[in-house]
Amino acid sequence: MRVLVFATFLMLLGSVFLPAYSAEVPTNASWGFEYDWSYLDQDAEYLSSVNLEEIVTIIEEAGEKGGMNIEIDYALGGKTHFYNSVETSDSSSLREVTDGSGDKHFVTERITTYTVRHSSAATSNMHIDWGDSKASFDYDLSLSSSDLVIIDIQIIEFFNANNELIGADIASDGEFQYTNLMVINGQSAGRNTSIEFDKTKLQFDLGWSWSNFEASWRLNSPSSIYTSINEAATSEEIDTVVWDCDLWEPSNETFGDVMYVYDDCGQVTGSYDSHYNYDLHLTNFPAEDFGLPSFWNDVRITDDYGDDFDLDTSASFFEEFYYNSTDGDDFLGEERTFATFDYLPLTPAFFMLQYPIMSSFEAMEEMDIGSVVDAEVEEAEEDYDSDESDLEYLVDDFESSNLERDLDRFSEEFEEEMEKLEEPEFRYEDGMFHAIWDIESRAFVSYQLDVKEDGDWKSMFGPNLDNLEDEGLSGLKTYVGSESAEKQQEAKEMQTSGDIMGLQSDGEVSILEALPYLNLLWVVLVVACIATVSRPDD
Amino acid sequence: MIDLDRKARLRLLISAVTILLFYSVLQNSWYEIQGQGEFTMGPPKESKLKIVYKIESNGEDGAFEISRSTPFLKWMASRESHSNQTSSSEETKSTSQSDEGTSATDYVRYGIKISGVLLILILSTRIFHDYPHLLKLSSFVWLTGILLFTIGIPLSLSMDNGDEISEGDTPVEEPTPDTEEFPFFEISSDMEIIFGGVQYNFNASGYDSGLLSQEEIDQLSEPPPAKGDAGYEEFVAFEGNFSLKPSKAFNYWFAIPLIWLVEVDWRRLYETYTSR
Repeated sequence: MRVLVFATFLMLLGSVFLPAYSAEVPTNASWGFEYDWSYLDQDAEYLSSVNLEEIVTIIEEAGEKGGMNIEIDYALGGKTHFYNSVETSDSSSLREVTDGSGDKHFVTERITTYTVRHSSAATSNMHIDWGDSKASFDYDLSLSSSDLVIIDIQIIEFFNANNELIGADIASDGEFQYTNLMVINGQSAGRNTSIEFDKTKLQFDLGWSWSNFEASWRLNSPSSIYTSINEAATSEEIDTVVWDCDLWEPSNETFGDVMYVYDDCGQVTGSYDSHYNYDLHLTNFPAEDFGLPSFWNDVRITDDYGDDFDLDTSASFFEEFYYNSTDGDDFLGEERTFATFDYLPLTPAFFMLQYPIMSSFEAMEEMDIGSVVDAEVEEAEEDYDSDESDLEYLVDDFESSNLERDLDRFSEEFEEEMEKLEEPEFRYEDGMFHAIWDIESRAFVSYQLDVKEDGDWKSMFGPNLDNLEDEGLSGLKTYVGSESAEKQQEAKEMQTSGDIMGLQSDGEVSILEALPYLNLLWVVLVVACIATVSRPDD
Repeated sequence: MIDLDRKARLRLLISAVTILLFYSVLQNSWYEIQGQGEFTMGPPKESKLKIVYKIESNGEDGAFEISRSTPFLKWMASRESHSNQTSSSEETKSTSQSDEGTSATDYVRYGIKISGVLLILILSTRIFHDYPHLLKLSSFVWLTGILLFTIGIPLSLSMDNGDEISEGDTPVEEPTPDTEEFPFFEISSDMEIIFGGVQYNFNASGYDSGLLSQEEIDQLSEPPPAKGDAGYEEFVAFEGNFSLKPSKAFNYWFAIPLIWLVEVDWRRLYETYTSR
C-alpha cells in the first residue's frame, strides 16, 4: 500500500514538472483550392467585363473593312492546385534539438506542408490573307504554349515547453517549365518575288528548378515570437507584432499597440541543387529568301545546366503581423477561437525558401534571353546580303500597294468598335488576404480571402469567419479540412501535365502513323525482285 | 502484252531499282561539312558550337547550334572588340557575293543529275536491245558520278565559298581573330582520314584583349598562363574539328551497281571455275 501511495505521489510530482507544451493544432488543419483554366473566359468576363470572344469578333470584322480575311480561334485549358496543411507531432514522443548556441531542448514538432501543382495549355490558330494587284500575303499562324509548376515544401518547426521557437527544418523541390511553339505557313508575294514560309517553326522552352533542398535553421536562443503573436490575438492592447530576427539580444518591447520582438536569429545550414534550361530553336526558316546564309535555316541555342550549393549563412529577416479580428468557428471540425492576421506564409520559417529561389533568379538573370535574341538579330543584320535577297523588292511592292490604306481602315474600325464596348473595370474595389491563427494551438492554420464589391465585403475563399456573403468564380473550387487533406494527398502524386490537368495518357500512337513509308516501299520492292528473279521462263 | 524473257525481266528490275536509288539520291543530302568544338578555357569555357552545312540536289541547307550557350553569350556581350574586322569582312562579302552567275556547285549538281538520267537511259535500253559495251558505258557513267561526289563537290565548294568559309561565315560569326584582338594567338591543326571523308582537328588559343585593359595587355606572358598570371582568366582556348564527307545520297549512288550482280549467272561462273 505504501508503495502504491509513493508511486502515486511520484506521478503527481512528475505532472507538476511535466512541460506545458502547447495544444495540438486541429486534425486536418488543411486548406486549398483548385482552379480550372478552361473557365478563364467566363471568369475574366465576370471579373472585368471583358469578353474575349467579342474582341475576336471585332478583330475579324475590322479585318473585313480592311479587305483582309481574318479568322481566329483559341482554346485554353489546365488546372492549378494549391494546398497547405498544418499538423503537430505527437507530444508524447519528444525530440531533442540543439539550438545555435549548443543548448539542448526537448521539443514538439509542427509540420507545415505546401503542395502546388499547375499546368495549363493554350493554343491559338489564326488565318490572315490580303491582296491587291501589287502585293499579297496569305498566312496560317499557329501558336501553342504550355506551362508546368510543381512545388513541394515541408517545414518542421521545433517548440520547447514554453512554446518558444528553437528553429526549423525545411525540405523542398520545385520546378517551373514553359514551352512555346509558333508555326507559320504561307507566303508574302510581290509582283515578281515571293517569300514562302513552309512549316517554319520557332520553339522556345524555358525552365528552372531546385531539388533536394534541405536546410536547418537554428536560433541562437529560443524565440517567444509565437507567444507574442498569440498575445496580439488575445489582448486588446497589442495590435501588431514586429519581429526583427537578426543579431539581437532576445527581448520584447512594446510601444503603444506595437510589440517589437528581437531575436538572435542564428544560422541556416543546408544544401540544394539548382538547375536551369532553355532551348531556342528556329527551323525551316527561308534564310536564303531573306538574304541570309543557309545556316539560318536551322538555328538552335540551348543550355541545360545544374549545380549544387551548400548553405551556411546567418539568418536574418524582418516580419510584421497585423491583427484584424477574433471569431469562433468549427470549420476544422471542432469549435475553436481563431484570429485573423495580415500575413501571408503560414510560418515565418518560410524565409529559408529564398535561397534556392534566389539562386534560380540569379540563373535566370545569367541566361538573359533578351541578350540572346538581340545578339542573334545583330548577327542576322551582319549576315544579311541584299544582293542575295528578294526582300527589298518585296518591301517596295508592299509599299506601293494599298496595304497601308487598308491597315488604317482596319485600325479605325477596330478602335471604333472597341470604344463601343463597356469600359473594362475590375469587379472588386478592395481585397483582404488573411492568415488564420488558432489561439489554442498558437499556430497559423489556414487562409481567408475577402473581397469588397459595391461597398460590401464578401468571402471569396477560406472559412468565412465573419459570415459574409459568399462570392465565387466559375473555375474555382475551395476545400477545407479533411476534404482538403485528401485533395492534397492526390495533388502530391501529380508529376506530369497530364496528371495535373486530369487527362488520359497520350494514347497509343497509330501504328500506321509510325510506319516508315520509305521502308515499306523497299519491302515491296524486295518482294517484287524475288518474285521476278525466281520466276522461270515460260 | 510484251512478253519478256528472264534476262529482260532482270534488266527491267535493274532499271527499276536504279530509278528508285537515283530518286533517293535526289531526296537526300549529297555532301556534308560538319564542324564542332568546345571552349576549354576562358569565360566561354564549356560552351559548344556545332555547325552543319549540307549540299542538296536543289540547294543548300544548314544548321547552327550553341549548346551550354550561357557562358559564350555572356562572353560575347561583355567583351569589347578591338578589331575592325567586321567592316573588312563585309567588304569581302559584298565583293564575293556580287557575282550572281551560276555557281560551280550548280554545275556539279547538273553533272550528277545528267549522270543519273544517262545511267537510267542506258540500263533501260538494255531491256530491249543487247548492244555490246552498254554495261561498260553504265559503269563509266556511274564512276563519273562517284568522282563528282567525292572530288567535284568539295572542289566546287571551295571555288564558290572559299573566302567565306575561311572567315567563319556563321550565325554567330567570329572571324579568325587577328593578333590585336587575341594577343599571343596560336592555332595548331592536323588532318586525318575518317570513314568516307577527311577531318581537320584544331586547337586555337589566345588572350582576349576585349576583356583586358592596355596595361594588362602589356603584362601578358607567353601562353599558356598559370593561375595567378596576368590574363589567366581572359585566356580563351578552343578545341574543335570539322569534317568533309559525302552523305546519304552518296551511299545510294554507290549502291547502284550492286543490283547489277543479279544478272550474273553464278552457276555457270562456278562451273567454269571448277572445270579449270
